[in-house]
Amino acid sequence: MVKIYVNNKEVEVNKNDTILKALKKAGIELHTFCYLAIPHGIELKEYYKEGSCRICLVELSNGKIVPACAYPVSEGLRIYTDTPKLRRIRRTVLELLLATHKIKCQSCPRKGGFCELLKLCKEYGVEGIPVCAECPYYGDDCFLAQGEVCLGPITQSGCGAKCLNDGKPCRGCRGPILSKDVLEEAVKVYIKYGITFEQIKESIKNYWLGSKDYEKLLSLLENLFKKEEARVKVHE
Amino acid sequence: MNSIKIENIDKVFGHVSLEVIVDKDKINSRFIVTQDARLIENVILGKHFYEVPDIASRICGACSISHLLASIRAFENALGIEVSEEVEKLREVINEIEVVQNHLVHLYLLALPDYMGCTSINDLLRKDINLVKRVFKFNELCLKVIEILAGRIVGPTKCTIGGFAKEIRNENLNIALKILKDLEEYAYSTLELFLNIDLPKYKDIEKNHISIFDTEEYKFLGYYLQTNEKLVFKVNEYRNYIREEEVDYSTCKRCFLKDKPYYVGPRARLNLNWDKMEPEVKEIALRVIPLESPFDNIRAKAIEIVQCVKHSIQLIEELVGKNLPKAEKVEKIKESEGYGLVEAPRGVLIHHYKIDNNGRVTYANIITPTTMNSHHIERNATNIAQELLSNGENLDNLKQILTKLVRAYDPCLPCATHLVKIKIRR
Repeated sequence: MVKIYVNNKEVEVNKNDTILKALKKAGIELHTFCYLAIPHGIELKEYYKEGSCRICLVELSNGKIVPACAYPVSEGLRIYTDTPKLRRIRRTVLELLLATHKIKCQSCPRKGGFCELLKLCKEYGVEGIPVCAECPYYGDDCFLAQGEVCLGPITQSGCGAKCLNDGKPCRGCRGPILSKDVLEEAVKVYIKYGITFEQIKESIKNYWLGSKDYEKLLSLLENLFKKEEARVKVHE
Repeated sequence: MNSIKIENIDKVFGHVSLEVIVDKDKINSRFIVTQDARLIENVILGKHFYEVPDIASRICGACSISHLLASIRAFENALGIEVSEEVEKLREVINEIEVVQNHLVHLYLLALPDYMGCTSINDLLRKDINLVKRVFKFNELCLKVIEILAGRIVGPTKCTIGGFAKEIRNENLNIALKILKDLEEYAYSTLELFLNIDLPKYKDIEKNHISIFDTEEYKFLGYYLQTNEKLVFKVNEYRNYIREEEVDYSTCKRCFLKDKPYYVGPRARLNLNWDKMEPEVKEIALRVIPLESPFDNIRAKAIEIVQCVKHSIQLIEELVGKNLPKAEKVEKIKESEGYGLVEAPRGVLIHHYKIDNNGRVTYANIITPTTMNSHHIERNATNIAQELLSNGENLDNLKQILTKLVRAYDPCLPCATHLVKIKIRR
């Protein structure tokens, strides 16, 4: 057994553990993407030790930032889990992760409050995730599958999908996402359920007409719709 | 010519000035709304009717539920959709709790500082911190009921055409009932406080009142209007009785009942419908009616708070044990015209729409309570000014009383200004 100090509190831990394992055993929460209880999918029983996602970063007393899942504990080690520097770095890490993340929230079973990435993005104020990620419906329950125009796939999340939870489709009051990845995915979904550009155009006019990105968004969407429609035709 | 102008009256919803023009012997008042035009009626045009209630509810943040329900009821009226008794009851509850919340914000935060010798709620905080704490708790509980029953505090998401967009579960009703029972105590303490306040004594010269008419209950949702001269008419005929007029100095129209200004609001409701109140509340109401002075609004509101809380407890008790199913989507759409009538916290609210065969809105007219009251305020301000000036009252005092008068009406100016059509002169 060795003694370490977490946020200036003394904790006794096993000698050969990594910081993450030691903290988990001591009951101290740290953000991780590995080792999650996943509602519909697989459950990982062990932490990865690769330090590749870098969301579990902690700060040492000498100012060094290390991944908790790969760094071993030692006698008298001082660790800080929440400092301004860490928060800044975690935000950047989340943004980088999101850049390579294929946003297919509309069909992901981990949406509706189970997605750890979304939760962290919300906590750290990272934008670019559609309302679909928070919406409880997927498959046949989706409003789009029932033939209603829903702006969930292209609207900024953060509201907790209030209207959708209460039985109304999304009207886009939190504003648009301009990321091309998200829009591409959204257009695929719209075309899959037979919703046309004209319908979307009419619906986004309600709340986004005055926004400075309106024209840009409209031309982006129009191009994507044309491209996707052409692609579907070739496919057939 | 001499003009007394009270600019940007504080502690009201929105921006408004009052100007009293003294020209030799003639005195004239102007209720000048300086709030920007909102143009909601034009925004609605061309939209599919399913989207309109959500947009209409954004007219005002304080009374969004009344606008939402009026709009929903107008389209139900147009398309001949009949909702079940349970839905009607739950809507009534939601509207009544909104009325309670609006009343308490006005009574405690906007009106009470005037009568306690304070300038604002911040002053009051130093005087009596426990009172302010209680007010905020009261407010919080009201909003909680709305959230549990209707989904969102501002512009509830669950209300839709044909009923509720999601099934209302029994457990939600039970939670709401429990909170409502807690509210009763707050309501009675409010009543006690405000019935004992010394209000300026002044008799209203314009005695026309309008409120909703119902034969059995003290209702906030209805189809008929009544005046104090026992004239009852359906809301569909409002054009025959109520005339709107644009004025050049304000962004708010004014309304006339047969060329006479009239009053809508809590005082009108109480004066015309007091006999339909709950028995305990009726006894209290009997002690104060008829409420003749515009300042008596404050008493009427305090009594209404108790009435609304009691009535909603009764309605929810009738609903407990029943499940309210999800509303069905409207299939049949035809060219039609519909009227929605709701008693908003500040008075009668009328929504009037026409839709075409595709369900697109072709005409919209919304008459809000503050629009109806604007000329009534002017008339009373003129009269008070006349009385006080002939008595040789000093200007500061006059200004103070006139500000109190405007505040007693509790005008809601974001609602009022959306009516104006902009004319471009070149």
